[in-house]
Amino acid sequence: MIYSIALFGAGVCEVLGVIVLNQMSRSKSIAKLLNFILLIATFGCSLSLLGYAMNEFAMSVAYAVWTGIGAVGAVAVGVVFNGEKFNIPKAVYLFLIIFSVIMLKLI
Amino acid sequence: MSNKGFFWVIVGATFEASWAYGLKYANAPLEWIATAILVCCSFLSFMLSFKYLSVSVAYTMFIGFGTIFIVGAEIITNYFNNDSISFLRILFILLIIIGVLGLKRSQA
Repeated sequence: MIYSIALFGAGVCEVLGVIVLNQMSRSKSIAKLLNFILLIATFGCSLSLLGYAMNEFAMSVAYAVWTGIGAVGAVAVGVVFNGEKFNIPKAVYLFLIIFSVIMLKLI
Repeated sequence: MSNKGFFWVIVGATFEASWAYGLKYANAPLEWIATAILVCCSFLSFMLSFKYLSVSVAYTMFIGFGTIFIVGAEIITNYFNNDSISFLRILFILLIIIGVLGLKRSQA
């Protein structure tokens, strides 16, 4: 259970890292430096948690789930914060990822 | 398709698989440092491939090859440890990748 939470946390940190990366590309001088430090911190957390989760999960499973959570999170951020449209194809792909993650947990 | 871009994607995906392996099996300070360096290398290769390819193409290939290499590394590791390979696992991993790439495309 704790390993599953760590893996989920790693995916969340990954999404945060991508948000920070976007902000960094738009900011200047001192703000850029602060964002850069934040970027190292978020990706550092993400990879540490991923490494911890790998104590329990197979390498390939952990990596695929981590990538999946990152993609789902990116869509969620786009819909909630940037007012992107949510449509049928997106829903299908989201379902595919979530379904596969659950199945990987079961087999 | 630019050959230079493709080259950096393959190099980056190789680094990606190496750091995943490092995360799983590293258990000494020096190995942790090596893993961190590999993460930086994969990130740099990824950035370099953007010079020659569009972001969506580079991302797609990066995730695709990265996952294939990681699954490959795991199969080889399992083979040497005489563990069995779960085909169901590979199937669901493929489904996750299809989902990830589909989401990326629908967002573009």
